Amino acid sequence: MTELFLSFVNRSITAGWMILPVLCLRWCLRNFRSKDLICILWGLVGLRLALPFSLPTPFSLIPSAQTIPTDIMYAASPAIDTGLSTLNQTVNPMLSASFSPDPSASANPLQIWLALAVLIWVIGIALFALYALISLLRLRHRLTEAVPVGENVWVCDHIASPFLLGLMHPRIYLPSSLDPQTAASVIAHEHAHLARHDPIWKAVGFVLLALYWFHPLVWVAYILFCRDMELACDARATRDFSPAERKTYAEALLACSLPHAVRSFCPLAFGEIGVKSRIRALLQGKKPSHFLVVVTIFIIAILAVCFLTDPVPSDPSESSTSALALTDDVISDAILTHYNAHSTEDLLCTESHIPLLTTYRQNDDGSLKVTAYLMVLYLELVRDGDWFREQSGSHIPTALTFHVQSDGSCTLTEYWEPGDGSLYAPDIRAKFPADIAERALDTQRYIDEQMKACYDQAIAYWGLEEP
Amino acid sequence: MQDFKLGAVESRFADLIWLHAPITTSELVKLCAQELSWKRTTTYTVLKRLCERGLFQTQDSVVTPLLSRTEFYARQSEQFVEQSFDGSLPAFLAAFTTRKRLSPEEISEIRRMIDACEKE
Repeated sequence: MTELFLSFVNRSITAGWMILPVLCLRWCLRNFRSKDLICILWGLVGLRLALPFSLPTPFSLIPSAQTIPTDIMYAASPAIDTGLSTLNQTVNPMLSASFSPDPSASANPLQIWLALAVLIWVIGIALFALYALISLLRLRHRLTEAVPVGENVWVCDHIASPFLLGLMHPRIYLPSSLDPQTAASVIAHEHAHLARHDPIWKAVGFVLLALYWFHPLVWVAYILFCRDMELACDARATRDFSPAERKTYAEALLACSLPHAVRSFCPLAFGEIGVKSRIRALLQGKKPSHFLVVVTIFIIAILAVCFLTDPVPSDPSESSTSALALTDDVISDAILTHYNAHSTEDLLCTESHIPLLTTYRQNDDGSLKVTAYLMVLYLELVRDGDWFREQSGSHIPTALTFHVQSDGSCTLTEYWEPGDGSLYAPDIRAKFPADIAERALDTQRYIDEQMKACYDQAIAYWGLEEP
Repeated sequence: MQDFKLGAVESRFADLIWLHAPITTSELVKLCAQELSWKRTTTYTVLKRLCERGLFQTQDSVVTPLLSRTEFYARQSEQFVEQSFDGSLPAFLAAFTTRKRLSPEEISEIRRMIDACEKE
């Protein structure tokens, strides 16, 4: 479930990257009479949100297809990849410091936070569904007394504005107090909605909003999409109208606009959405030249390619792949090499390390400098009868620095341990970042867990049974 | 009882009853299904509402009007003049005639009505 939620979050972030240029393009096109092109743009955004997969191409302008790795809960040092290295370097150290799993605690804090987030997300979706259901039922109740007056047109006493309702066979509902002239304009507008299959698009948009309710740009996209849909219908309905007829239509719009809060959800209501901009568009909108239309379509196509496709993953400058090359095994090898560990039949040299923090710095040559701050327990265990005993060992906070190349190879450049006696605490406080220095000094916190880890290794090594 | 306004759809329903009264409820249901495409429950709901407003009454499943159509619309105009012109009929007529001139036929008809009132 958490993986599902994280995949939704990642998709919403990618869609967010797409919504911004769409908003720019929309502003540029604001004087076009036909809003169909803009609706296509919103359709592309919807596609990005709806599809769980995408094609990787080198043209993609999306910074990162998977900002939050879906297995982040299990990572030793949780990190995200926003695709912008400066952002990564700011955010990741904070994440590692706050969320690195602490074995002395019973639960990984990241797991708890994520579980909470998933719960809130699901509650949000449920609230949306509930709202839609209740609104629909109340509306249907009011419409029981509606009377048909024409082809698919019904009249009702208890509704305040005209709208379109229904998914499979949408009906046009008019308030009974509407005069015939206004009614004619309204019906023309609603027929335009029907011709464009708007009830379906709006329902799809609403479902997407319900799933992605946590992302503010998705709300912006939905509200603007509804507005653009209305503008497109106005344009289509009045396409061949004379200026006098357009004026009548605008008067109808005014007559139907009501001073209540915008309910942009279920039905497609005539007078609710952005009346001022619609009237302005009706009376002023210019028809663009063919050249401009062609250019716009071209730009939209480019946008589609750049934002509907994902970045190619094996990009050498992506820090996450390089950082992930620094595995536990690499660290173990480094530790054992440092202590000159040579295990034999009767002697097991073993280590257990607990990551406290990992920091990353990008070098000029594209390689990564990774410093892992760890609590290291090194134990030499020797066979004794049918069990074993400790021969020697060391339990000490350590800082390992690696150079990680783009091909994944790691080279140890520094193996740091604090000095003895009075140098111990000051050395640690100087070397380790402030927020983990105190944890590093508290070796008692980790000793039991790490001893157990080493003992388990010995048990497995000699095939013993636990006492 | 005091509201003599009817929505357009409700008026159509009321007109059906005035036209066919007295009428049994089951016949009314069939009539509404035919003329208004209403379900049985809808017809009963609206009928109950209009009965509570004092327009009709239902006894032994027969619907009869308590007010005739003309009476009802007379009271509606009374209420309108009351609310909009403080009950002053001259004020209403003045307002009515500022925009529309009365035709000669209308003038003689009104004169005859005034004469009839005087005689009472």
